[in-house]
Parts: sequence; structure tokens; C-alpha cells
Amino acid sequence: MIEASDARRAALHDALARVAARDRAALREVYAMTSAKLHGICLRICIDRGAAEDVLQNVYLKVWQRAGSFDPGKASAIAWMCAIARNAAIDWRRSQRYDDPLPSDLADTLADSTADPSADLEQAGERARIFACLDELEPVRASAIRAGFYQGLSYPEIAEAMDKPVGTVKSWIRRGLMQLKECLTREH
Amino acid sequence: MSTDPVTDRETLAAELAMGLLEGQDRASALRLMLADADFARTVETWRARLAPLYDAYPDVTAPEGLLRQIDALIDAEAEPVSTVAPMQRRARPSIWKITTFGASAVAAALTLALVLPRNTPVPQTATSPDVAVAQLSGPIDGLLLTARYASETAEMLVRVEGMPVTDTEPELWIVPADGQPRRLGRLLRGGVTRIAVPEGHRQFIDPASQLILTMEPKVLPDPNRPSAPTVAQGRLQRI
Repeated sequence: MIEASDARRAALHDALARVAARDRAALREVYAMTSAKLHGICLRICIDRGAAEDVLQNVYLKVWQRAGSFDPGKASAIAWMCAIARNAAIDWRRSQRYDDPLPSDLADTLADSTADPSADLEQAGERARIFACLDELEPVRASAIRAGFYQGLSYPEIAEAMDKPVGTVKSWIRRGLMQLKECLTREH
Repeated sequence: MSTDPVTDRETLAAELAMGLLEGQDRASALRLMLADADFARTVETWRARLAPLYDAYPDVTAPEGLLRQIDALIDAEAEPVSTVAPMQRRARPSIWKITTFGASAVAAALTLALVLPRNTPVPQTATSPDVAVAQLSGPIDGLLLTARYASETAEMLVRVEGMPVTDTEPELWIVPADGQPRRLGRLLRGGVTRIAVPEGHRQFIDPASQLILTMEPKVLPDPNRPSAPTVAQGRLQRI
């Protein structure tokens, strides 16, 4: 399993390097390996299917344009691409100013805590650790952090979704993030 | 007791990495990233820390045909400026539904084409050995530089987009295979800057070289080397 995961990471890394050299066939390989994941991100944050598709197209244009600046010393290829997708989807979402900040209810976000991450592109141990650390947090703090991360919600949007004052939500998230850091840097 | 603890830099870095900040708060955090290398590193650390969370996004198969549309977007990027705009409207009508995003998407798609002067003939295929381009980006979301060098004129045209307001000035350098940065010049904070590449530096215009951007004090401490960390980078590509 781990070997297969490592092979996939290496294949994606190699394909991205060829994209940087303007290899269009390599972009197709990258697309085949990553489009389901990036589409999942865009859809979760944009909610609107058509918008998610438009954002996703633009994400691959950015990947094409920016592959030369990918630094494997800072992030894995899939994490670099996921970040581009998430940022693009958040930018779109913020430009729309939804009246209803959370069309799908918070239960969907909470469900993320039990989701079985299907992708095996990241290392299993590293992945398990941050999920375990999130589970250590007080449930409201973890929920607020998940809503911010997975749905790309801002503080006021999370506050509205959780029906709490913005200050309370800020406090939950800030303290939760510092606890998360403490947990992740703790000796095991 | 306040429920809103004092925002220290660590917290601010985490909030920026999470994408929680908006408007002025986000702009000032991005400025801090440009001005303070320690803060930029803290943001990067937080991004790396949170990255495993991406695994929990569910995979959703992308619609059929999307790859063809992406190909069309990339093709449009390479079209000459006089014909790109109308082609964009025909080829991607749905993108115009989303006004704000559409504008930025098309701006991104046209970036390469737009740095070209309108009256300059544009090579459309990857056959000309005399033109090199680079896209520079980095940890500042939205900051994108596009550079195009033509050996015929020995000029580099550099378009800057998404540069936050800072006390420092954007400075462009070329880093050849020897790893030693050479100064190309100061950039305008937006729009296109035209740089006459010094004769001694022209030999470095090749795919082994990177362009990097640093944010320097108004008076450059040393014109022979950057004094600030790299905030955007990209490799030169011949087209």
C-alpha cells in the first residue's frame, strides 16, 4: 500500500516536472492522477457544480503556468495542487458573497471527521496524525476548524453557520489551531 | 476575560494558511509575508502542517470533456493578442457567467499575450529560439509575474499582478545554473515594466536559469545580491 502510494507520488512528481517543460501530454497525466481530488475540493467549496467546473479549469491553467515554480522541498506535488485548487475555489466563493454561507448543513462538515480519506497520495502516518490531533480538540473547536478548512468559510460565515458570535468562533479556532500545533509537534 | 485573545504572529500565520482572513486583514497579513521572512516561513510551516487534511476531501470524478476545455484555455493563452479576446468569448461562454472570476480567469489566460506590445508580431509555435518566457509565483496568493524576453530587442517585459502594497520595492533577478543572482532591475508594482537586459546578463537567458523576485528597501543595500528572501520564482522557458 505504502509502496503503491510512493510510486504514485513519484509518478505525479515526474509528470509535474515535465509539465514545467511545457509537455502537454504530461499535463494529461497530471490531470488523470489528480482531477477527481481537485474537483472534490472545488465542488465542496463552490457548491455550485458549474462554478466548480470553471474554477477547476482555471486551476489546471494555473498548474500549467506555475509548474516551473513548484518547489518539492516545500510541499508534495499533490499538496501544492490541492492548495491551488482550494485557494481558487475560496477566491471564487468570496467573490460571490453568498447570502447563505452554508448551504449544506454543518453535519456535512462534521462528517469529515469520520470520512475515510480515500486518497493515498500522502503518507499514511502523517495523515493519521493530524486527524488524531483534531479528534483531541474540543468538538466545537474541531468543527469550526473543519468548516474553515474544508468549506473555505471565513470567520463571520462560520459564526453564522454555528449560530455563535464571531468573537467566540475566532477564539475557538485560534485556540484550536494552537492546540493542533502543540499536538503535532509533541514527541510521540 | 476576553474571548478574543491577542493575535500573535503564530496565530496570524495559521489564519492566513487556513484561508480565514478577508479584506484588509488578509492584505496586511500578505504584506507582512513580503516584509518579514520569519513570518513567511511560519505561514509555510502552517501550510505544510495542514496539508494532510486535503486527503479527507472526497474524490469526485471530473466531468467528461473538461480536459478539452482546459486544452482550449491553454491554447488561448498562446494566441496573439489581437485575436485572443474574441476567441475567449466564443470558446468559453460559461466563464463569463461569473463576472469577477471570469475577469481574473481571462486575465490569467491572457497574461502572456498581454505583455506583448500590440504591434509586435508574435510567434505562435514553439519554433522560435529567440523568445523566452517565465511565470513567477510563490507563497503570496494572487501574486503572479509574467516575463517575456526577446533576443531581438534584448528587452524583458514583465507584467506584475496582485502585488500587495508594501514599504519595499519589487526587484527582479536572474539566477543561472551557478546559483548566483544577477540583478535585472526594479519593477513597477502593477502593469508592465520594460527592462533592457544588460549585455553581460543576456547569456543567462536559457532554461537553466530561474527568475526570482525579492522585495527590497527603496535604496538597494547591494546591487549585486538580494538582501531579502525570494517571494516569487519561475523557470525560463524558450518558446
